[in-house]
Formats: sequence, C-alpha cells, structure tokens
Amino acid sequence: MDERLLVEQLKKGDDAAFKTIVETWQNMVYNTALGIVQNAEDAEDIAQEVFVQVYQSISSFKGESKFSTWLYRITVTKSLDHERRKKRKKRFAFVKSLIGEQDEVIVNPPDFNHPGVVMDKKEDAAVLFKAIGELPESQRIAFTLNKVEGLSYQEVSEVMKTTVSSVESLMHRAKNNLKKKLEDYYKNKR
Amino acid sequence: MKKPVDINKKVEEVLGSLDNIQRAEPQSFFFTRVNARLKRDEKSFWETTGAFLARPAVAIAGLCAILAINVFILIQKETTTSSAPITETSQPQEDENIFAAVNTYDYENLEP
Repeated sequence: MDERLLVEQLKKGDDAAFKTIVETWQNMVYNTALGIVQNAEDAEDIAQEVFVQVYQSISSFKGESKFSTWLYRITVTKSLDHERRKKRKKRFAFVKSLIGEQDEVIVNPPDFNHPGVVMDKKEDAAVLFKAIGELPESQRIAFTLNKVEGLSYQEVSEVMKTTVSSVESLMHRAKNNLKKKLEDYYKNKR
Repeated sequence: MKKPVDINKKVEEVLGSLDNIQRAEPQSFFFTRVNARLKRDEKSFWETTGAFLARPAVAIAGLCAILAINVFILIQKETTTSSAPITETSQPQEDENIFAAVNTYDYENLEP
C-alpha cells in the first residue's frame, strides 16, 4: 500500500493502517536500534517505543521527508536516549557501590553478536561492534546506518539532518578511529 | 599475528565483517506487543494534562506568566499608593485652610 495513504489513514485513527505500518517497518526499526544499543532486549523495547510514539504523534508528521526517514530519526533519538539513561544508571550504581550502598555486582555486558552476520564472520564482527561502541556518537550513528542498515550517504545525511559531505567526513573519521582501535586491540592481544 | 602486516590484514578483515549483513528481526508477534504497550500507555485526561504542564517549555512559560502578573499587580499598587496620599493630604489641608480662613475672618469680624 502507498506510504502516504497509510499515513493519512493512521492520522484518521485507522488501526488496520497502524498494523500495516508496524509490520512493514518493524525489521528496519529493530535492526537500527539493535545496531546502536547492541542488545536484543533493549532493541525490542526501543522498537516498541518507536511505534507507540508513531501512533501518538503521527499528526506531527507533515510529509516533508520520507516516512522511513522520520522513523529512522525517531529510532536513533530513542536509542541514544536509552543509552544515556543506561549510562546514567550505571554511573549511579557505581557511585552507590563506592559508598557501600549497593550489593549488586556491576557486570560488563558480554560481546554482542548480531544475528544477521554470516557464521564465519561472527567473531570478527563482535570485535568490530565493540570498537563501534567506543566511537563518538555522530560517527557511530553514521557508521551504523551505513554499514548495518545499508543506507547510502545521501539517506544517512537525510536522517541525520546534515550534508552528504559531512557524512563522508564522519565516515572517514569513523573508519580511521576503528582502524586505530582494532590495531591496538590486536597488538595487545599478542 | 606478530607482524604489523598481519595486523593490518586482520584489521581489514574485521572492518569488512559487516559486508552482506542481514537485517535482524524482532521476535514473532511484535505487533501484539506494541498494541499491548499502546493500551498500557494510554493516559487519562489528567495524566495528559499533567504531562503537558510538566513540559519544561510550558512550565517555564507558566512561571514567567505568573511572575509577570505579580510584577504588574505590584506596579499597579505602587502607582495607586503613591498617588493616593496627595489626594488624601491635599483635601483636608484645603478644608483646614478654609477653616482657618473662616476663623481669621471671624476673629477679624469680632473685633471691629
């Protein structure tokens, strides 16, 4: 069904249109969130939040950009918010553990394995995802949208509300940073 | 993995490990879970109003409006209190002058 028609129907409160929207874009939203937060449970939670927001704020979608671009923006924002909340909680738990108010042991998450990576590259991809997680926010988003979601630089620039040359620059810096991190990782692994 | 050449080769391999990656999919019945969450998140009128008022922009605008009303009332009060004594004191003074004038007149008239 046509994207615009679906949006118009959802604006009128059509639940069937909402179901079609969720089923059409659920993989895109989930995969993007998973690439950013690198945790299946969190990604599921974020994807649900994204569609709840879509339902509640569809009236604010003016159709100036593509619906998928709008969805990507909501997903990226929600994923980054989720990460910030998680980091805040972790810092708070660490401070609490320092003053002896917390009995919980802070455990570092295990290596992330993306289910879409081919079997013989799983180990390498896990190392790469760990390095991606250490990149600055904008580089990480650009790299994830391009490499994990397969968006072109043009599409990434639309999602990030920036120019194509800025995305090229972000990607260049991201690749250089990743190379350095990976080189250090394998040097220290010897 | 001891030579730098090996490391570079490995780094390139790792960087290419996301080539041809497939999209991950959420677990089955995703829409059912979204729908359940939507029902759970549906808010009452008061919750929606509360959430609207708690928005930083709305809260700050409301606070500014209250402050502006207070300042306006204060200024209004000050102008009325600063103008009021003039009318209050001038009126009796006029009366007193009249009284004094009348008295003087009377005294003058009493002693011809």
